[in-house]
Amino acid sequence: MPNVLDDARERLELIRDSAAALVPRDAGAARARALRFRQPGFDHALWKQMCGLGWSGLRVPEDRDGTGLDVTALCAMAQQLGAALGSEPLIAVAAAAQLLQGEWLAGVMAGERIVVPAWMERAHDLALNGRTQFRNGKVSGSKRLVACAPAADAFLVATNEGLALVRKDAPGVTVTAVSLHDGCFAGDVVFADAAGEAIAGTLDAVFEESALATAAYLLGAMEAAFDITLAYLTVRKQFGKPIGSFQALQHRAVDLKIQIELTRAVVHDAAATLDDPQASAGVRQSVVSRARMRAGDAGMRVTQEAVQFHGAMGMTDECDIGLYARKILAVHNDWGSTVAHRQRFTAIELARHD
Amino acid sequence: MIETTIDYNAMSDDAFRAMVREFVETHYPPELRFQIGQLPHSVTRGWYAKLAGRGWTAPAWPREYGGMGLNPTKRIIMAEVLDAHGCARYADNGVMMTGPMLIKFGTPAQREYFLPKILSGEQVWCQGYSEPNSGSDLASLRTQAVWNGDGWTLTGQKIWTSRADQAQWCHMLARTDKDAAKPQDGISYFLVPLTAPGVTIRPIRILSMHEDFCEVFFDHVRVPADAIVGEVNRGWSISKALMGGERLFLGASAQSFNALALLRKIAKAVGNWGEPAFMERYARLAADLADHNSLYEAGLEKVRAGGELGLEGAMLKVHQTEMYKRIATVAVEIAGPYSGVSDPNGAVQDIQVASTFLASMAGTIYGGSSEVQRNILAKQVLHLP
Repeated sequence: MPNVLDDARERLELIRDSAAALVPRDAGAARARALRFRQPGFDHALWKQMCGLGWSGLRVPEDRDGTGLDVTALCAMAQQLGAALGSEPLIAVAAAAQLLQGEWLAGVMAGERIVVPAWMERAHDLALNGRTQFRNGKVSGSKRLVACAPAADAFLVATNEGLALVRKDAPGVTVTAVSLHDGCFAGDVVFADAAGEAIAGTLDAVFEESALATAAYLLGAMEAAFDITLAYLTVRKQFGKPIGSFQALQHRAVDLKIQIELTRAVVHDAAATLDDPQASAGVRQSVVSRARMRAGDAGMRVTQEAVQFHGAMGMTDECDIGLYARKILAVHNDWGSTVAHRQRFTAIELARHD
Repeated sequence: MIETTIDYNAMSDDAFRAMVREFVETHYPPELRFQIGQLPHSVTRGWYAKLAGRGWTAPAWPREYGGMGLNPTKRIIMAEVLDAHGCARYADNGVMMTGPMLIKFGTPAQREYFLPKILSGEQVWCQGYSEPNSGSDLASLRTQAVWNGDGWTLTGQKIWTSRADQAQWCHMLARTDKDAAKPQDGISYFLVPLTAPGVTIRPIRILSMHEDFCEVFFDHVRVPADAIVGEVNRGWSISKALMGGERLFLGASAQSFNALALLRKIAKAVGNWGEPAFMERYARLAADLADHNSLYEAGLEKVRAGGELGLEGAMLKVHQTEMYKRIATVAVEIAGPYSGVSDPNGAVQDIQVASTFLASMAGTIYGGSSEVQRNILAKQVLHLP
């Protein structure tokens, strides 16, 4: 047993190190500044490099030429990406890749093609099928805020007749780019009798791990923002003393640390649950939603306090803390809003205790 | 100076309210209703001119100086009518700060020269207090004014000067005695034209990507002897008197009122309006706002009775700015995935939720941060050791 655990820990360390080498945390702010507000909002060359190292095929089994890593590993990567403010489409593409086959899978794993899931139709609604139709090989419906849509080559569309793969350049597909507050882009996508290829399987399983990876991403981002803030509290002086020496600020900094540790703990637990084949669907959904509630609320709180601790400087675009605030604001409702996850958690609690 | 001839205080409250409402409905530009934050002078210039034409720019100034001379009750009625119609805040530093300061501390010549230009909108003013290393600890400021024989020479830097780029004049603090026993005792109050040689203004882009604040650099800027307000080395007491008024002003709930209206709009757009879990949270915020207004009224009651709102006014500032943040946070939550969306103007299908959230974070920082206000309350109101 100790050997197995040590192996797993070691492997996780390797994954973290390789992610940190590609997207070093210290370079995150400068990179995010350089990439924001212009399409595609991420570094395409770096994304290809990540794919070369197996990031897009992270969760694709080894017998299908994937990297074959578990959800814990996915979360470790997402956390590192979040800490470095990375906007490369790891979570969305790693989700889609698990459902693809053949040429599309190979293209996605090589980083030559970008395929992303398209599922959301309404705010606060976790329904994966929605009202989108798929009949006689044609997809009709519309999806909101599809991650990375302007840069995608195809969409894995959730319909009420299963999944359909629709090329972005297929007649009947209209993508309206939506600029996000972190300087990245999503898209509203309308399908009007667009040709789609039926794909076996459902988004259910990848939805849970992607929602959780989003919590891990937020954990990375809030932790980096917190560390920058702690450093500021020790160097910024007012009334002849570092402001971090004032008890009123010390206590609030400690409260943020508690929130971050709670987030880390629930993300860790949720990843272990998703990696446990014995865990029931209800237990999975419950812990994933719990992770999202904590990460969403803690992320917003860290955002506000980090800016407040920076004083007026924190309100400037020149100060890096704002990049983390914008990132958390833009990302914290991906793969289901905090409200939607709270509603799902409530429903599960109700059913459990009835 | 033209003295306003009408005694509005003699009117009945209802008649006064109806008169203001009629004026606002006729003259306020409809496209500027229910905007969040202060609008640039270039946008509100026309509205300002309408107010000036009617003699309504300065409701609180005495009539002998061209103000409306309203008593507190009438002032509140006027503010209520403007808020209810969704009238935006305009470049009002001259009316809110410079004018009252000159009326109280200025010379007759300063009043004669400046007040009419503030009333007409010809002069837009800004306020130079904070410096890069003197924010919460304002008394440590280092911008220097040195006597040059026939006037003062100013050198230093101000920061977080709201809308200096739209202003022609700045009222500001500068150090005139480096060796004073207490840092507060070496500070004087100056009136400085921003068009003077040696002044450089650089806008600061803030989180919402607006440029509401500026850095102002003074490189050997020469001003005449009469650019000083009050006595040399006695500027700190003027700024303290002004900040009491600012706290009351920042304690008024227009920001929270507008944010709550935004929250209702979002909840209706995403379908949460009426849903019990949301309504419970909404009710807390709505009651919070109503209670705040009660506390604000109680503060004004003191002013009405002829007293001054003392340091307890800091409670209003702390509560209002933190309430605004709470409302904006719930608005982000209810907007859900749409809260991260921005267009180049920061709008989300007419719903400016992200920019409102980012803007809300400033309130607890400027005008004396919540931390500084709490220090004042703990020490000077609760008399804690």
